[in-house]
Amino acid sequence: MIRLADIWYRYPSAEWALKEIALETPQGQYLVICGGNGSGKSTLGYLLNGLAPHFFGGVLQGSVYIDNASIDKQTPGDLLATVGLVFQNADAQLFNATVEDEIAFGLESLGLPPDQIERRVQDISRALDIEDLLHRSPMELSGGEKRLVAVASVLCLNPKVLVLDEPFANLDGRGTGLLRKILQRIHQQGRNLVVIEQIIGPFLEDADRCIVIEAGRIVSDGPARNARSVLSEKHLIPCYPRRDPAPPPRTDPVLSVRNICCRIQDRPLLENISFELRQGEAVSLIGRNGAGKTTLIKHLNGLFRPVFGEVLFRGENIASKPPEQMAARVGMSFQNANNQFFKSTVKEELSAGPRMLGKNHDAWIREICDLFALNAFLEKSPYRLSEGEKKRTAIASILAMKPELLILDEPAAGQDGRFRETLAAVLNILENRGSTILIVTHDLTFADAVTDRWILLENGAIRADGPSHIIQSHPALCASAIDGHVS
Amino acid sequence: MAKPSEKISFHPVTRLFLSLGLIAAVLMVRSMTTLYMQCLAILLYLLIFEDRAQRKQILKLTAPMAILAAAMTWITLDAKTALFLTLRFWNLMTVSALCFQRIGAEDMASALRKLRAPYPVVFMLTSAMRYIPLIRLRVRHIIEAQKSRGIDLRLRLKNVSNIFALFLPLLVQCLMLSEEMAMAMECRGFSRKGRTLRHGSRLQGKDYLAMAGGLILLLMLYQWEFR
Repeated sequence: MIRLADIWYRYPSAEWALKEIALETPQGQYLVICGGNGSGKSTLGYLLNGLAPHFFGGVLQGSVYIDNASIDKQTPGDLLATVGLVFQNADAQLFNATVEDEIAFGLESLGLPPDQIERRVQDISRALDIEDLLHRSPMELSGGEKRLVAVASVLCLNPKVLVLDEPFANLDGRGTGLLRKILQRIHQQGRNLVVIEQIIGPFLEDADRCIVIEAGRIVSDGPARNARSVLSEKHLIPCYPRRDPAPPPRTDPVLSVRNICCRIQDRPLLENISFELRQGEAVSLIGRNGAGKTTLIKHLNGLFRPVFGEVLFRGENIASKPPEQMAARVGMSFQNANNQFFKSTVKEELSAGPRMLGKNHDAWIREICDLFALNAFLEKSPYRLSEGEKKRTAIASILAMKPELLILDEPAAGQDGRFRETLAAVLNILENRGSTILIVTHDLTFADAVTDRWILLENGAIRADGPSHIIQSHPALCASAIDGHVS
Repeated sequence: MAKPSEKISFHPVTRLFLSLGLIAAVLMVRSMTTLYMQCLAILLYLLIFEDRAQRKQILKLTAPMAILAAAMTWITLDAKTALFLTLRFWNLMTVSALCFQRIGAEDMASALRKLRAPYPVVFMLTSAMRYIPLIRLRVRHIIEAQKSRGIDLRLRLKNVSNIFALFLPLLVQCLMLSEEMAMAMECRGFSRKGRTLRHGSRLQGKDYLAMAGGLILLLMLYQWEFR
């Protein structure tokens, strides 16, 4: 069905992104393409639907065949009914006013009669169980719902090949399970499936074949069931050092959260949340997408004010303190590193925070650069870094302010296994030096590798708070709060 | 109380026509009496038909600009002219805000398609309208990220140099978003020829009646003001 014959491709004014790619897949194969950040795996997906080179430009050598026909001269529009591509960022993919219009957009492009468009929209929404979303705006949907709409908008075109770029990224256990079932169903229909991922999950069991890409070359190709050892060796399944459970430290509380509640337009987001973080403690805040994790941490540095309850930092109520003042004490790094960068070099970016606080932390910044391995690109623009390097720079720039409490919102999301291993090692070093760390995540394996205490958040309320090994010994608790488990 | 637009639903073309008519009605006022009456009508509408949050939002948007206009005209012209211009400016801003809040991106697209505007133009315009909430969300996230780094973005003179911390990430993200969106549109056949146009609803009797009524009222106002 798909044949790539000695493909070389490079983006304009760049190095070769794909080298010597030769690949042939039979009809109905479920193929998983794995690789770290910047390995060229997404470029391979773009090649299959003509985005590379027709949208990006650049140089393509070799030929791409779909269903025995060369597609070298065909644009993504020409390949609309042949190859469907679902992007990682659903926000950019969904650009219509309603879900119904979103699904119908591709069908309208094909010039189908209105009654047929109507029928196909109904059929696909029934199949994916999103009929109740048809009249809603895609912008109002949750991350998991957006992903389903993005799949529906491509699947309704009946493409022979369906390519999904990191479809499981940022999905919690429930969303992952639902999407996995949908892909299984599509595979059973005999369609060709190509799933591009950088972190391997249980979906690998459903696939027929797995290839690994490194620096633009295929370095491994074989049955998916035998791929785990290669994937571990290539750090695509992160391997964390074993962590022995430690008793909670008997130090003074750094942060005390007392009965805080938060409501937006009469909708309760947080209900009666209370907990304490002690000096030197590393804690994970775990919960599904939409459980209220990010809302909760925004109360801890004064970005949000609770409608009820109080947050005490070293015994002092922070209600009257603006977040800019709290930055020296509570360092918070959010998921999207691009939200932070505004300086022309990494070096300036690291010193921006301390300078703003009127402090000289040069020695500490040098130490951080060693810890996060940033020395090689101190003079580079933060925007020119790889995703993993950006994330390291973003966290380091927060740490540069020497906060007493470090809060990281989904630090591992969208990052490859190698980055996760490095980050886990850095966090363990910081913890051993006495830093207090709170990590927001729905990756239980990562949480298990870096923290001893878990707080499970479910529908805005704390479902459990205690040592991670005790919470893990109650699978029902983990399943109800996150539908997940430690692999 | 239910808004008039919730009781009778008009075709988007009619809504666009009536909105433009209302704006024209504000622009053609010349006498102080009519201006007072218009201002009173707008205030009554806000009090009766808009909820508190909506009212607050509109006043927050229009009042600072009206105050600024009042101060500038009072300094440069006389008090009477300042009052006239300020009221007219406030009426115009409030009516425009009310009208364009009622016409969503989809209504605008539908109206423009009915008026046979070129498809790419309609699509670009309405996509830009739809992306405003997304950009607003991004702005909020950037502000939160920068505040968490100790960068003060409050409106103060000493913070002028910090404004780059907001604008640079925003510019980069807008560029990234627009490229991703263009990619997604290309993948779903935006540039293909022979697109099916759905939503071809027709204008009904009530639409023609409303447009004719609006036009008559506008002509009467014109007669009154330019008699």
